[in-house]
Amino acid sequence: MATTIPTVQPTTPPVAYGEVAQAGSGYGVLVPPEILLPHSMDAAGAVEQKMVPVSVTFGPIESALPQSVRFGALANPRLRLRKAIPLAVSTEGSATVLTWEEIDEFGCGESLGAALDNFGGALLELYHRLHEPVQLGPDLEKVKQILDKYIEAR
Amino acid sequence: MADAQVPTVLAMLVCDQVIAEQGSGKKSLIGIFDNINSPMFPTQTRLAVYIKLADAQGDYKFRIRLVKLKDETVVADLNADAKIADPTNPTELAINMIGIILPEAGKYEFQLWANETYLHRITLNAIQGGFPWPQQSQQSNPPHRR
Repeated sequence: MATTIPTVQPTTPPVAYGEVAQAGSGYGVLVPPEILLPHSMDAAGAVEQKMVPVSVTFGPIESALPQSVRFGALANPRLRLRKAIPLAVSTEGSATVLTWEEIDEFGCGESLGAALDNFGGALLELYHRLHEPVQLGPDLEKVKQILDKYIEAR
Repeated sequence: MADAQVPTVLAMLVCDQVIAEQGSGKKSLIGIFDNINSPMFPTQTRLAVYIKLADAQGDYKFRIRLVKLKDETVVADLNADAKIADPTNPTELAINMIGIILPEAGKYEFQLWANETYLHRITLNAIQGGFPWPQQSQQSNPPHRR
């Protein structure tokens, strides 16, 4: 017997709500039991919770591929970005290409996100290579100085 | 706003719902998942995004975009402004969304931006069918996540 699967039709108007707040606090064990319960906390003890309005637009809206992006996704806990890195976005065939023109470093991938990940990996590799204890030529020394304007050790 | 520090993403997860406990501010993430199964597309679903940030200080315009990777169209675009004073404490973003429409099966991506700076992404697979329960009961069940 054939089974008919019904089409799922949108029925609820899309909405979103949320908050940006400091991370929550747990409770220690070396305190009197009466203050372990949230309802006994006074206002000063409560973690600041600040609800913020979240505006939301549901699409399809636009192509997500911009002409330029600011990179801030350094995936190394020992390093941090002093400021975002400006990247130019282009496409070659089905690939997305990101270029940091200041040092001619690039990343590519099948989507913007994949290209950003690829760029992040290449950037970390370059950073580590230039910070090895070896003598650098003038061009690489200049690249290292530019990198150090954007990236610092924690 | 351009002078705000570039935050570091410590965690970014998609789940059914984020519940914030009043008083302590602790978040509970209910039903963390990577895949959404639905008998048909387009489908409508409810989901939440939880993000934990370090090194944030200053004024931020946070933007979370749900992007369909097949053609890089933005399916949903969420914006939230926040002022973060203390960079020594982690900051959390918890966004619950009801009625998100996924137009077709395939790969999607949540992208996190702060002041137009890309910070992080996580991918989500929308799969047609593939239910763990018998087909007969599919008709009465909503989109399933795992």
